[in-house]
Amino acid sequence: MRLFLILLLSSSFHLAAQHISFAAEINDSTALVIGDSKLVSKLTFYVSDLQFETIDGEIVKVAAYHLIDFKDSNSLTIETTKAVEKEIKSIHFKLGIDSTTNVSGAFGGVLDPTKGMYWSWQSGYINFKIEGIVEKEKYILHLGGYSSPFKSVQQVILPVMKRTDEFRVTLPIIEIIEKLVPIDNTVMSPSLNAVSMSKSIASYFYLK
Amino acid sequence: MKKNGLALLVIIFFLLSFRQAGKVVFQFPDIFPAPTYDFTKNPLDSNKIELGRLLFYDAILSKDNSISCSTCHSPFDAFAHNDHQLSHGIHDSIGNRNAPPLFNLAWHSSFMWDGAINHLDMQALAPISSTTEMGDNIVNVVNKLQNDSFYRSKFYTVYGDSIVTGEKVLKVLSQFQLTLVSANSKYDQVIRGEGDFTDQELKGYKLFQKNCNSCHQEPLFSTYELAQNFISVDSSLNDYGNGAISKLKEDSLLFKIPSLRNLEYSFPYMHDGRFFELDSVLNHYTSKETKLRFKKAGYQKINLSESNKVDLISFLFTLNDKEFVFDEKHRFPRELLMKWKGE
Repeated sequence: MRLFLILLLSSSFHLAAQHISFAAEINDSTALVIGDSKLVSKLTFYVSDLQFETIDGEIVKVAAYHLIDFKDSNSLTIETTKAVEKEIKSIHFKLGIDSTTNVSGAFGGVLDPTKGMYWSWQSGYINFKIEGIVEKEKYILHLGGYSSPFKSVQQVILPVMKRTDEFRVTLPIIEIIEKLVPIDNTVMSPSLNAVSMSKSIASYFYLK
Repeated sequence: MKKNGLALLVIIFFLLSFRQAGKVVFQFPDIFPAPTYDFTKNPLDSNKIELGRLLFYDAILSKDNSISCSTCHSPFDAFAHNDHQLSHGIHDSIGNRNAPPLFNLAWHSSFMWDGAINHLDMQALAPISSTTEMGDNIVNVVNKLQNDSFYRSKFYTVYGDSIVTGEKVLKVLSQFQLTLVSANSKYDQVIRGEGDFTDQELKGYKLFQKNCNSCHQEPLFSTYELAQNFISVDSSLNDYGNGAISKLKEDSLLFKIPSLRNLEYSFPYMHDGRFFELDSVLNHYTSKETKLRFKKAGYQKINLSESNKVDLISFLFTLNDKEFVFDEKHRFPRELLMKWKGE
């Protein structure tokens, strides 16, 4: 009976597709909802090359390009097309769009320039957008840039600590705002600040 | 059985030819290098070229339906804005650059005078969004086209569904512009062995090869790279070219090298259109100050006497491609007139 239960429990991990959801947290118990406060009025970013690395080193591709928009709750969850049977060691993704895609012309879907994540007066995707009001002052950070020295796409690797099919990729939004806005509250083109801010943001992601 | 096989072959052939009906092979002369545009990502199709042509000439791309691409890129000016130093756009606003001519775009590696755009597909976003050009944005343009029954049916014909997207709009605009190939000037005919230069033109050709060819390289008459032109910065424009885009000191005052083809149709010259005559351009490049700046920057020396300049200009005029400028395939599509009348 005990063996059966163990079998049942362990097999249940393998039946369903995995879900990766993205969340921004105000604090440990409050998730960010756009419109709840003026602190954040926009939070959108690209996640590309999303992959699982299994315990035996195999790379499983989950999604090529995904646009996270906190105004659209449907965009916050990515589901694997089929269940990954092996134990997952880590989640890998790029925050932003790689350089090759940036120089290869027009694309559709989430990469369509109508999505509001492409600059018009110069070429390039905006990898990460956050806007809002902090201490009565507006801030607007549009981070992007695909060529040296302003290449801002970042690799994120998140170790998986427990066995689960539900992964919650979390951004501590208050910490990020407190770190970035004092550096510069208006960034709207590729720059060294945009690169260091992108690095910072990438380092704040964690799995919950 | 044999009969059936034959019938099957006929059907397959028919289906294949149907599928290939709109396919267009990009044509260019043997002496041109391989294009830089990747046609595999946007294969030419006659219906797409035609849709791109309609959009190119339709002011629906601007906020108040007043400005089309052709407002500043007229076919009779080799798709430049003849006679205007700085091009103007919506609400009579004046831009800060001289609209460049459009031809042989499949060989360009960057776009705009400052090289800010890295791909032909993405170029149209700049004028559509500029407040001194079309004053709109791609989201609004897509919505306008989606709500227009004429364009809905056009997109349906081309794509098999009537959903308009930013990608489709940009790619069909590229398709039309890619077909603007200028390769039938007197120079081209001479190179093909179909004619001869006059003595003066030949003298000018030799002067060109010695003095100009490193930047304005044959047969496109530009490397399409960025370089300094050493004209002084206009204090009312403060245009620092690529430096303002890349934010790198070494890119300051770099502008895209224009082709010397079709100069007769595309005056004035330089990014701010300050020179109306080729004489003035040559006088600039042979002035004492410019020569010094050339030397300092390590650029190739330009040495031209007054009579050399006359010879050189006679050669430069062999690069005018009248057939291209008057080609009906590139002109305003009459169908658009019907559409406007119908509205």
